[in-house]
Amino acid sequence: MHRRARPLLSPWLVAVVACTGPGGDTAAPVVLVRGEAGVLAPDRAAPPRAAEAAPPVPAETAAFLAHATPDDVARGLVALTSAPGAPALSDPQRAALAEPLRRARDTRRRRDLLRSEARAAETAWLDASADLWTTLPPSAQERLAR
Amino acid sequence: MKRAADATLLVLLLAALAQVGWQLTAGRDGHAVLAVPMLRPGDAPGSLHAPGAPARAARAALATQGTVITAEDLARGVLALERGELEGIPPLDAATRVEVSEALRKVNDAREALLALETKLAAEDAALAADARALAATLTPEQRAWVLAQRDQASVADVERAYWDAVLAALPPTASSPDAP
Repeated sequence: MHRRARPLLSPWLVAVVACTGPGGDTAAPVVLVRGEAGVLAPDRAAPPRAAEAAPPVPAETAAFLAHATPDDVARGLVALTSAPGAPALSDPQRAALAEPLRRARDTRRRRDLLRSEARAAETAWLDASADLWTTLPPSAQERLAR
Repeated sequence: MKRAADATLLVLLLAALAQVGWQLTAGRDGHAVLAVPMLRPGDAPGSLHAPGAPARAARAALATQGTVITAEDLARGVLALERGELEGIPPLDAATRVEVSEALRKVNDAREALLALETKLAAEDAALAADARALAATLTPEQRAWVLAQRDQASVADVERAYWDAVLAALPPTASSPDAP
């Protein structure tokens, strides 16, 4: 038997609480958490790293993006088109923005769906790990919990 | 006719009782929610915003609940147990071995599924970062400075405000509403 803690602030650290501690002692639970991502990924299937895959960016743009997330950029563009007193977008700028903005919207939608799926998959993985824990004999549980 | 109505009511009542019973027993025991506070009263505002801070804070908070071990360490330990590499621990009996192997296989399947999703997710994150670079490149220095300076305002007042207004407009006014009669 195990109970699950809700996902915490970081979407990539979800905890599963195994209620039965070593030897079935419910007063001393064992908390299973996800460890380092690099430990999870085998070498043959290491996820690509965005920073490594990114092409060089002009210094000014890089300085700007160091303080603005993609969402900040998108929201800023919304505000630039509507907020009073904002430095107006020129017509050529508006034309140049349409396509990347549409692409960003679609990418973000896909990314958010994948995040939801990944959270569910992470929870399933930790649940399976908690089930694995319960199959172990008390002596092995005690040893692994040290 | 009346008998049929009585039977329907009885079935509905039994279904409701079964639902309540499930929630009070299996539903609660199998999926109890544990709330673990991430911040303590003395923590400074924004202390969870530093790189890696949420993971560290979660680890510290969870350590108050019991012994914390990572799922990866558990899998490694079980593999060592299977290979008889854990000194002082007797080998598993045949029945337990079957159970452990099956559970380990499920863990591995779940891990592979998660990894495949995260690979796709990393690719989408990289695409989104590239989109952001393309968008940022179209802005003038003045516009960039304005976006940074107005970031919070743009989020709260110019974008989220519309959601709040739409939801509040769809709800009936309360006594404290500014436009209440």
